[in-house]
Amino acid sequence: MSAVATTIPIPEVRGVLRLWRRHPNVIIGAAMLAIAVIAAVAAPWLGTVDPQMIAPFNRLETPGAEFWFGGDLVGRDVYSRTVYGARVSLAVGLGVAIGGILFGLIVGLLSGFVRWVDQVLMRVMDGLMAIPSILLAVALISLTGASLQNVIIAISIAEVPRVARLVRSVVLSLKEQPYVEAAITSGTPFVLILLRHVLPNTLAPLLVQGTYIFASAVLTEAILSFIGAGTPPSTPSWGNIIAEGRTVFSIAPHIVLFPGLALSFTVLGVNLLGDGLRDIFDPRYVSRT
Amino acid sequence: MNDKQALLSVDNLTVTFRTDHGVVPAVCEFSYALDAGETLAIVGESGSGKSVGALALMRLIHDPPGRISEGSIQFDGRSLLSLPEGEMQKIRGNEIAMIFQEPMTSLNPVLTIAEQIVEAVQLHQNLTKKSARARALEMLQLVQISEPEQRLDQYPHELSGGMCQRVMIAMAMACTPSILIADEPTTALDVTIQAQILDLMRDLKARLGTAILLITHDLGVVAEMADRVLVIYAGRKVEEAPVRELLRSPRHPYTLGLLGAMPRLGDTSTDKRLTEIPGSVPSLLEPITGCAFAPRCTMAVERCHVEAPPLERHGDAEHVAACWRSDEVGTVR
Amino acid sequence: MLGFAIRRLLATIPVMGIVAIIVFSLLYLTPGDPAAVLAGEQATAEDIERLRITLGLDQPYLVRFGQWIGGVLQGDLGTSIFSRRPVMELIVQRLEPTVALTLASLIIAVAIAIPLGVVAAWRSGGIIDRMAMSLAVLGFSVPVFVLSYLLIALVSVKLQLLPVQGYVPIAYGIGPFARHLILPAVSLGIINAALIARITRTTMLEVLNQDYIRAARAKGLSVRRVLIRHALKNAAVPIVTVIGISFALLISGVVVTETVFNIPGLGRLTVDAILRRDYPVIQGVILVFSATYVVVNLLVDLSYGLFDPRIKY
Repeated sequence: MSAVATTIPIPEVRGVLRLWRRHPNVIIGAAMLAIAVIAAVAAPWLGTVDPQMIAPFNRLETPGAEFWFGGDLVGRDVYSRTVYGARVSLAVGLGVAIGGILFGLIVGLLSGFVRWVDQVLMRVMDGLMAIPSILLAVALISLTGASLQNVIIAISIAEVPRVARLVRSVVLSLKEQPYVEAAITSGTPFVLILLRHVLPNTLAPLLVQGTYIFASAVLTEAILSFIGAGTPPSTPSWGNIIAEGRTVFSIAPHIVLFPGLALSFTVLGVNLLGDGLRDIFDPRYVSRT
Repeated sequence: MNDKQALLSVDNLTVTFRTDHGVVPAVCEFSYALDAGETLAIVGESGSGKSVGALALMRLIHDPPGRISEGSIQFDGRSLLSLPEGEMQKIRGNEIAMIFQEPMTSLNPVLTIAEQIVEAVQLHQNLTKKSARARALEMLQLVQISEPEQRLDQYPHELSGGMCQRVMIAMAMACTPSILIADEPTTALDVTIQAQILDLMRDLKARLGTAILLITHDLGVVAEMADRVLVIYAGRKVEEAPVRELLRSPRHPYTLGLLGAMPRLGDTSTDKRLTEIPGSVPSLLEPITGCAFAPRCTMAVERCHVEAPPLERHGDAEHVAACWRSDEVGTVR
Repeated sequence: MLGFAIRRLLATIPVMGIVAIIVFSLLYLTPGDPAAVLAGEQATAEDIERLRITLGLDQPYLVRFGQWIGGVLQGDLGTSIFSRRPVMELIVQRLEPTVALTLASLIIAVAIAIPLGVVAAWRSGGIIDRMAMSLAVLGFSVPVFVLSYLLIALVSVKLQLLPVQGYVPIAYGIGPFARHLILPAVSLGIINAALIARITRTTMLEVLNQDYIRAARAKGLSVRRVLIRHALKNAAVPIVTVIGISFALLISGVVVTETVFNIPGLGRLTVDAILRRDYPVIQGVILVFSATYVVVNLLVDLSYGLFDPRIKY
């Protein structure tokens, strides 16, 4: 009984240890991301108060024992707002990573396999890529109104071309492979080719690209909120808190700095994770830009 | 080893490489001497450490992972291993020049032929750009390149492999070095071009009096070019002799194996040579006990596996070999 | 070369066409009534109707697109809903600060990134390499406004060396112009240096393993000369490509940096337009920025021949 309990975890521990030695970035990044996730999920139990509670007495309160990160312009607790802000950022990161990859996968598969669609889709992707993603998101949000959901959709659309190009290049190079060619000519159903050859080969690069998209989406959301085209001010997000603290930066820098640090910490974690995964899988098709 | 002062003498040179699996001695206690104007060939299979030895001479081993851990190199009265980098730069390309196995990739693809030769000439000789260019043209004529005027402003990708090697030779000889290190200079070339390049090197050597350190795996090339031959196996010298002596009566089974695998010039099936000696160069990760060649040697006896044979003199013709059974090697043949 | 340039220039026309179609069609593709959204929550039904006519939403898509694209081709980007002035005029007025900021930060980014990437590659695995690459990851992760505020806190508030914000046109003297430009350009430059430094390192690592580098060293060239003359020129094509691509990041960065430093440029114009729901201005700015991006990348393509003689047009 005890022998079983002690022997089973050993390979796992060893695996983690080896990962730590060879790719410490993966572990550090995952740990940093985990901290952000815990903050988001367990926000109410982390010594926070209602992030929207206005307390005029605490206006621009400096950070201290009672208000760890100080108070903002209307006396709301910056610590609580920062912790709750993790929810928006992670939701946007995850939402965009999933949405962008899903749409990009569809577009990429279509243009990889259907020649005439390829021409059209790739020209549209070229066009989309020529529009700076922030501006595209700004245009979409100004037309649809600011909401978390619209922010996610807008940023996802801007990310689609990158994923589509990646998937397309995987498909095109796979089609050159003799075993895939054989499968196609021998009339293997398309779905089987997809499941057996294409998806396994796209998984690793998509995972890496997904982390980069996550990171860039979190940054983009913050920028959008910061310039007033993002998450509505009623929801505390890191970009919002910073935007509100902007005017009083020289007298109360803590309102900007704490959420700024939280934002940088989270994105850094995701980027480290992505770089580590990239080193492990070494996918050829992924690029940051 | 030589009584007279040699131009270059390498003593006890050991070069190690740090790898993920441990420290590997690529060259081990290697000694030789090169006289002015002579051609010494260093022969061995790929992976035997012969190129590393040459790069060590130029102090171009990347450190890390590589390191010259022991030994000394005396060149023209100077100790190369203790020279400051700036002094070493004055020797490289000027007094000791080098040409490489892959002429096509050894020329910089984004600079013109003139730019690359002029750069070397200007660096080592106080010449104006104009006279350096004139020198470059003169060198191209010397290496008998067709239409030398036009070649000056061409890029390497516009030239054939043979022409590139001619350019490399022109560049190497432009400062009339006293030693030319030629690292497999003809291996990447067509057989007919090989012969032309070898002719050219012989011709230049006769004209300019340059000593050549020829690194090759090809005993055919050795027979054509060398005065003396040094056979290297697993980073160690196993035999050294004047070329005729070595070809006529080798004293080491490894040399014998190489001779058996020797392709005649014009023979295109050069791949055969590696399969002729069964087995492959040993992993240098494990410490080698006994003779490094013993596991592949058909003549090996028990002693060969336990005790490393020392280099011993044979006859009077400066013939040394490291083999317990060296006296029997000739007879087996 | 000229033929290639013309062909390449022609190839940008469809891309710009697609950009124009996307930007224009957003108005029609969005769910709900864009006129109602743009008019805001306090708008009356009449306000919305008036806006609908101003934006041409009452007309069929193709008719309106024809009119719009005809105008764009003649330099008419429409009229601002808020100020009722031509969008083109607004853009031209705001051009100088943005061009100055973009160029200055691009120069700073390149000046930081290339030496850093080169040294990191030459001493790969060493301390400088590790530090440079850690800084690069930080550059990807720290949003430009956070870095801006940190720099303001340190340089302007604490040390009082430079103005906190604002912009002085170059016509008012190079001194004040530069003093106001330094902080925003440095913030943006540092962030953009990350990507360029990384690609420089990667490409240089590959180049430094090539035979011709060893051959150049064997000629007796110094490390510095080999790195700059022999290696960097070979690494140039991927590097300028990334500089071109990073221009998109730079544009996003400009919008944010102008907001932080209160610089009256195109970014500020965009942000004001967002707050006022002034869609024609947003549309115009996007079009101008995208066209700039396409032209920059066209120039990048054309520059390849300068670095690599093997690229034939």
